[in-house]
Amino acid sequence: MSRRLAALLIGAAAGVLVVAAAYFLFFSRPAPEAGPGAAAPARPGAAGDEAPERWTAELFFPTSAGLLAPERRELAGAGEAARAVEAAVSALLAGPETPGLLPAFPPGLEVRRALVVEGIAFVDLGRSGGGPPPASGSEEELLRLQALVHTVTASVPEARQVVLLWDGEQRPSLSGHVDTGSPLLPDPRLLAPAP
Amino acid sequence: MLSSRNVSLPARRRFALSLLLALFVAAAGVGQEAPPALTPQAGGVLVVDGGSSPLGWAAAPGGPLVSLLPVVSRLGGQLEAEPLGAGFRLELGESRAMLAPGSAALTLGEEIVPLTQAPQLLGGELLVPVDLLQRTYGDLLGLAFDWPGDGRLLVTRPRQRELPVEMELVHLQGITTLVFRFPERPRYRVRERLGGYDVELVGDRLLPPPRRTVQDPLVRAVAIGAERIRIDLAPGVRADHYELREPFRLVLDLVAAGEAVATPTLPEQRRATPRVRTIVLDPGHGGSETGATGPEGTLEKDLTLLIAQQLAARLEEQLGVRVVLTRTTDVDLGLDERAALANQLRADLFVSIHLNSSPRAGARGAETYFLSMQASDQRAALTAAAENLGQSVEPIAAGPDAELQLILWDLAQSQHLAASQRLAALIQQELNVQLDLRDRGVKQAPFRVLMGASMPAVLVELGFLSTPGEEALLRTPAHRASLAEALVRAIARFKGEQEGVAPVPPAPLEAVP
Repeated sequence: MSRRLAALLIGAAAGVLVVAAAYFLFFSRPAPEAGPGAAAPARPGAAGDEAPERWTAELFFPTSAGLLAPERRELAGAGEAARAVEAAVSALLAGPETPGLLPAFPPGLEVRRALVVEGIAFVDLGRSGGGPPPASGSEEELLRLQALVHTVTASVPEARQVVLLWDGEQRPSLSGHVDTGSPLLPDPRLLAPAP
Repeated sequence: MLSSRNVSLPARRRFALSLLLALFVAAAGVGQEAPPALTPQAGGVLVVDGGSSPLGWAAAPGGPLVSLLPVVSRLGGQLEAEPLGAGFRLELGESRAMLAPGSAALTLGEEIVPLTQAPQLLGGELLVPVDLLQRTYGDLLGLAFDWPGDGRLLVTRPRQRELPVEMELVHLQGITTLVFRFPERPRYRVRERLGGYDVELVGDRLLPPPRRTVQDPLVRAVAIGAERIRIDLAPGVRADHYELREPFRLVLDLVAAGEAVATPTLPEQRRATPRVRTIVLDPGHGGSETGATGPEGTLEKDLTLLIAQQLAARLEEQLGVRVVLTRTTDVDLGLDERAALANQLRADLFVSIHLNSSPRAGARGAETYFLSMQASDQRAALTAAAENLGQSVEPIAAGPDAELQLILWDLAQSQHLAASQRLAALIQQELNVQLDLRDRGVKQAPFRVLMGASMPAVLVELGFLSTPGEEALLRTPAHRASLAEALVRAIARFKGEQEGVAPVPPAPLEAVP
């Protein structure tokens, strides 16, 4: 068997496994319901539009009071939920444009990949040149994680929880405090009161 | 106030997600193995009630695969192919299992059950591993399947076991956890019905414990009979159930759907004579994990070690207790290993020492945390998912040492939350006095290092290293000594309260966000 044929077969097998896993996950179950984020910004292409246009994401950044505040951001169209998560998190990593808001993450991070399954967004982060997750104290880590979770769940209604990966692996904790071995939910207590 | 809240998922659903996650991560690679080569075998025999019939089977690297159709014909049920070639449906009475060639898992009702190896199609014949038969016919009909290794598949009705069962119930923060402990895994199924759930024994019988009255906001009654455990729930309460091993436990997490649950004050679960004799101090971070870094380059891992060493000396000197540090040098140490060390030492207290950082300028002050309950609950579910896989798949967040999972056990910290909250409050009070801080109460967060600790456990943030003024202060030996002294006073108060030898005025607890 040639190497090319073997690679094709292996790729086909991987595809079958993915389909099988998704099948086992979804069949005999009701279709995933719309999440509580029904009031989230509309995203063109979510219902299968051919040519999605710009849409509005809601990004969350720390404030000087140690809470999180939203910033609405126009992003390039991304109909599929996973692509929308990638776009929103990439914008979050790039930092705020609103004066007074603080960056949630240090520079040099990127979204490797995202996936949304049954309301859970899997977000894989990493450093552009490789390396460990950012070190921080617990408050900074909590704000980072919650900025990420609020951004994803507010911007992409299909996502209600977030599983964070670093370089493709789920770690016990991003920076040594908060458990990231479980899906994370948005914590509304961290949101700054609306002005 | 700061908290990153987790959500509880059924264990098997978590497995499915971790399975998909694994595929998600690996999908881009080409490291997937092709389906194993099968070697068809002749002369297979299916033996049921002394009678025998032919049975197709094949040898595979993971063990024998047997033809499912003859088993269905002999034992009953219905096997049908799903449309679009998506798999097969096996119906046994009211139960339905779905399986697919090439996928080492099946769904059984709403459960996803891992298999030792994937079913395969060979010449149009569906071949399945023997454990698939056990998880379907075995668990649902009380049958046992044995493969002696000579081409025979023996189907028997095993001797009925009589298993004692013990029940534990705890209600914390709106969640009731109901635990049934057995000496070995019973054959059972959980059925939801109007007003509650039934745990039905299949082929086994129970030796019920003495009848007891349940007082719980979510549970109306639990009746344990020889063949069934009947659980009556308050309206709107739903349950997730999962298994834990060694010893075997069936756990049901009960939550009220849709509305907040009135959480009664839980009496602290104390041992008969609580003592504080051994204290484990955990200097945060270490090695490559530096923790926070100050503007002047001060590393959190260095100062936490200095403070912990100073605190240890004072505790030993002033309280006469044994103090052990999770690390005494600048080394990497996993979060789970830290709690595991405290468990191994049967420590009476666990204090993790940290210094904070924040993106906001001017952040200052000390904060004391204890674990948020849902985090512990999540961990239990995750451990259950891993155990259900027979350790064949690493749980998505497990540490490198599988044995560690045995040291960290489910609900470990949940049994000590009240004491942890009290300890946190005392520490915060003393720090407020020492640092002249406005009292903001204690906080809860899903901190990983606290989850596996089976004793009162807190994490204390002794200042903001990211703030220049605080960094300078924290670098001062005198300031660190004053912090250590505040911690000694708090631990002394806690020790006195626990042992009842030094009455102290109760510390007011603020509402914990």
